[in-house]
Amino acid sequence: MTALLILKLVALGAGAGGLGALLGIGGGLILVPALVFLADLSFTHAVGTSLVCVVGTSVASSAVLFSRERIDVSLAIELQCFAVAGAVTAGLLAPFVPVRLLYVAFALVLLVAAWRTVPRPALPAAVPPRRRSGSAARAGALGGGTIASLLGVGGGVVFVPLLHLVAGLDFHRSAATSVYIIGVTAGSGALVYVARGVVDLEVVVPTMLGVLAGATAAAASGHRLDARGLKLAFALLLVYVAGRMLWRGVAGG
Amino acid sequence: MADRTRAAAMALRFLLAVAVTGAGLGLLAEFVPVPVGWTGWDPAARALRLIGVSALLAAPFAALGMLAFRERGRRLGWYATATLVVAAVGLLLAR
Repeated sequence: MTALLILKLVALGAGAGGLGALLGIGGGLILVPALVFLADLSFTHAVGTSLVCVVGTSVASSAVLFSRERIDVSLAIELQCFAVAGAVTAGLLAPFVPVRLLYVAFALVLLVAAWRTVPRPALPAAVPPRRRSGSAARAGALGGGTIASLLGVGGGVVFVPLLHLVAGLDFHRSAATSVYIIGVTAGSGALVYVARGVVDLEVVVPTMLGVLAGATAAAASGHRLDARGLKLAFALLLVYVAGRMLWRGVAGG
Repeated sequence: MADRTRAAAMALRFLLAVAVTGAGLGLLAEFVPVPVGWTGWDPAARALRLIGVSALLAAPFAALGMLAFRERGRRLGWYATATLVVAAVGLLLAR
């Protein structure tokens, strides 16, 4: 592997990790398209690499969140069992899913993330329902794990609303608990990809170190980007990337 | 539960440090000039990278083990065991 390619992967990882942490959307959504379009990796290799990197950011953040006791441990242990089942099943079935369909699914997830990134006027915090877990939360966790493993994203786009709206945690606790669930889910998915031989250590290592460095630097800055203009620009970028993914999925272009 | 969450945080920090050290040294090895004919360098660098990635992937499961350590026979213990078994079965089936 050339030094230039290593530096490129470190830079891509740092950009994805930093932006993901600053905007609070998770690195996988940025990393998979970056690896596909800028590093010319196949979708499967990009997903495997991204899953390992997602574990890295989850582990680094979870260590801090456990110390601050922000994670609902009981709920996390219960739901991650179902999320891991989804992730493992999806990882095993992924070779049989047409890659074009995965591109389209990824584009849809990107559009959801773009919609959530668009700045809106602040509303009074919604009071979460008083339900705890239940079969809806378990089914949601199963779906979140499946999406995470098929597309190489953390699954926060599913887990945070699930924990907040279905399981009844407040928003901050939902986000913290989701971070830990994502680690175990992406870890089990990544193990399947590693065992399938589609994770290249030479690609993973520089990308992972870049993601960790970017996410740590962003976390050290101590705040998320709240500038409306930047968020809007990023949402437009996500829509553009979703368009490219959709085009590749539909037309193979 | 507080002592277990502290133990989980420590396990995560330790394995993250191992992962970053192993992966970092394995990556640096790419840039170190090696005398012609010395064939032991590449396997060593590869082993370091493997240790780094393995430590990272083991970290969330180690934390789960710490959290569920005293839950054997209880509901959470069963969920934690099921999680680890499903992950292990997935790994075996994928090989």
